[in-house]
Amino acid sequence: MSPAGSGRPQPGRRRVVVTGLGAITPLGPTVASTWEGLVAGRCGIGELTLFDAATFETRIGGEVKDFSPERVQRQVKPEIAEALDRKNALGLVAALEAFADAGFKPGGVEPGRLGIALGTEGRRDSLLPELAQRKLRVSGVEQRRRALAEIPAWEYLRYSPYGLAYVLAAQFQARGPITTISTACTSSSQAIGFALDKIRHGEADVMLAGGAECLMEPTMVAGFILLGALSKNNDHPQQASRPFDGERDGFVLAEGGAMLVLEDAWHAYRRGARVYAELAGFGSSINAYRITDSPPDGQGPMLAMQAALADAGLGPEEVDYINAHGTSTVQNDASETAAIKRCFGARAAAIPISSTKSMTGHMVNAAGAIEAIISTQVIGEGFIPPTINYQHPDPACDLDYVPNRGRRQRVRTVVSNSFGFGGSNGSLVLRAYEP
Amino acid sequence: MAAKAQQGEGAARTVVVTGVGVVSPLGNSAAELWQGLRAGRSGVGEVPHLALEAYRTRVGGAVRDFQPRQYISDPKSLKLMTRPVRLGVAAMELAVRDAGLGAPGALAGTDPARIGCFVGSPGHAGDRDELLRALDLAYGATGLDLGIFGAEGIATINPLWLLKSLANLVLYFVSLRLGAQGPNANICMSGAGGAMAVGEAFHAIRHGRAEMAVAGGYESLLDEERLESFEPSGLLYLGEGAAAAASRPFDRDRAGFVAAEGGAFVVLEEAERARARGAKIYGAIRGYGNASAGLPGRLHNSAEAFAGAMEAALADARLDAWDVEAIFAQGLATESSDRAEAQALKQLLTARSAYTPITAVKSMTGNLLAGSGPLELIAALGSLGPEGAAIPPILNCEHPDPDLGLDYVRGEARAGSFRHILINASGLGGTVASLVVEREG
Repeated sequence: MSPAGSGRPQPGRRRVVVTGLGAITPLGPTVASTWEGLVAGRCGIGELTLFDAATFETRIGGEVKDFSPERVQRQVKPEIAEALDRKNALGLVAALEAFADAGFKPGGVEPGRLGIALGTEGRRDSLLPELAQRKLRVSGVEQRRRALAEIPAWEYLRYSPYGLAYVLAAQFQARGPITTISTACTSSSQAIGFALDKIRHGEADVMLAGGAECLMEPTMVAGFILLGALSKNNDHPQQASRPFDGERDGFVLAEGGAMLVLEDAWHAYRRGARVYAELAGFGSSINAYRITDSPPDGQGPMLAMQAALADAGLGPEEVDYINAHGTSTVQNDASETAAIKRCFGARAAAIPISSTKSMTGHMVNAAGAIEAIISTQVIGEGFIPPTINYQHPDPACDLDYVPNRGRRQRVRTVVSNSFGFGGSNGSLVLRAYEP
Repeated sequence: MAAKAQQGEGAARTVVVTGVGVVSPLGNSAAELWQGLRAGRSGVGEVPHLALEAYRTRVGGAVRDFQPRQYISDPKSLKLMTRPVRLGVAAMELAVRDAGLGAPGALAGTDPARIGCFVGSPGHAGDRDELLRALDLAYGATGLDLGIFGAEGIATINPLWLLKSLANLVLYFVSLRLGAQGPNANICMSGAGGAMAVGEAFHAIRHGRAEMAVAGGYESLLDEERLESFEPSGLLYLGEGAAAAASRPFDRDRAGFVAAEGGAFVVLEEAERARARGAKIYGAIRGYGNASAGLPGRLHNSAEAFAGAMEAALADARLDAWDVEAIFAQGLATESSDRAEAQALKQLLTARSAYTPITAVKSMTGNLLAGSGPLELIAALGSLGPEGAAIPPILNCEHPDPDLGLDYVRGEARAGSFRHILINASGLGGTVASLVVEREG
């Protein structure tokens, strides 16, 4: 299915390049500070401080430090500010960085040719108090009616999944294609795939694509605890996220925002933009298996990687690095390893693979986007970040996971994987740009 | 505005609709939907499944006589599904059966990696009542005690609570139903999401990433949590008049959109494949476009977004506006949206604006948000055809507004021959998606 080839552009097809990056993560409030952390093998995970989780079975997470949504709200128009909860504010901060990094001023792109593609979800940042006020602590219809009458008019927008897309479209005056994709951990990978498609087929010249996440809310953390998905390594938060390690015991929730400016290569050339890398391909698949698990044979994830390589016109032999989904659950990491072996055959053991979730934690809806940014940086900087906390070999995970120390290495082609609850998979191919 | 779509790639591949499934306020089949629309019947009425005393909403477009077991046989799956999810899965099941793909082994000859699934969804939505016991435990005289919530409360919550709230749960069940492993997306763009799901599925097939796909959307605004968020928005109909007169798109006396619920799905196939297996063909999807308003302001709808989406869809279809013989409008029944859409239609249709019939299905169904785009697509497919074709009327459009000389279909269904129909689906926040369908043959 994948034509082994040079990866040369297909005639008549527009090429898409990355010209701007923005991120706010547990490792730092910018792309540069996040990247420094990754190069140093630093971990951004600690005890939860956003709410009192002292009695929760899991009380650790990757929080963005010293972040105040109110400060972001003050920087934008009131009509935009009212839609900013913590998650949307994180997304906006990352988008502002990416847009400026690409060299655009507000209004600098023709509105009809600028689009937005996000992977995120709508959730309440304070479900329990609201629920108590509206349902639990009211007796009788009159009292309930009064409680409901206090709900602000902006609520539906702030907590809707498309609230952030609306915010970014309004902030950057984008009138082109727009979407919000919610496929759990695969959301922002698929959003970047959507953006690639829109530029390729001429529906936009520039797309702001990425994701935002904040799951540090008691009911969401409770929900993941009940599924047995989270690491309980509360005593050693920095060692809790240990993808591919034999003693891994679940993932660690993290929050943040991650945005890329994707651009038609000719459009970027004409305006003299700096090009980080080419977004060469995208592949999407679904497992049709279990809600929370990938199949042990890695079928769905393998299909996504194969489709992405075929889309890029590349053969598996051209891949120099894989940024793994690597969540640190027993099941995901084994399934992903099986998928990589099936996709890359005998070469699988020779490809460096790392899970940067060992340092960032799992940014869920924003994971695909932050890892696309990291993959872009790997190409530009010639450095592969490690998988930290790798101590105990697991027979089911026997590839080169770049354990504990990063590597200086020239990388031309990267595959970045995302697999999610519900079974959706997305793989992106990023490649050093050759005009 | 310049044509947006690029010529070339995949131009030869045609995508046809071979299955339709609807669970709606006008009935739980496409046939009932078509009958109801043509007769100008309103599906708005009482909402039997909700206790509305504390709410301001009095009427809605509820799905009636809904028996989930007719569509979902696995009891464990059923336990994971809230009402909106059941409505979506039921509509998908009806579409799959209608396409003749319901029987075991019906897709035996098809590579699972070539079957796509695309869903327009309201997003993350849990059953809040499952948290109440834990919350009650944790609530003391001084308010919420998270210590107690963590230590004692969490254990009382249904362990599957989070999975039940998953934004992409319907997508999961769609993939499971067909064993589909191909391209997919779960699009959460309010009222534009379902039409976008169909559009993305159409492009996936046209560009060769899949040979067939199931696509659609679902929503229930007739849900406590949704009403709580939407009643204060200033968008929802909160009147107390006669139910059938509540939804009034393009009418001077409109008062917001009527909350509704339901699901609508289609099966899309590459045309050669569909013909080879002798499938019934309802029509072809020819074009899809999507645009954002890009303006701050909660209630803002813009003519530019409607124009952008319609022009993109026509360019994608390689048609011009005069090729379109009827419009299934968004017709949201808010002043901002109706005016923006009417203005965009006037500009698009120019000299033909007085002769191109425009209808608004929401006048009869209310607003199913992500379900409405696919439902109105199915409605439009039922209006194609050389014989017996008709465009349903806009109910309650007594004093057309804005009155820009547009041809709103009023009173009775408009008979005629319709080859191309354009469908608009717009979401809150200003996003618009447009689809163009074409009659077969």
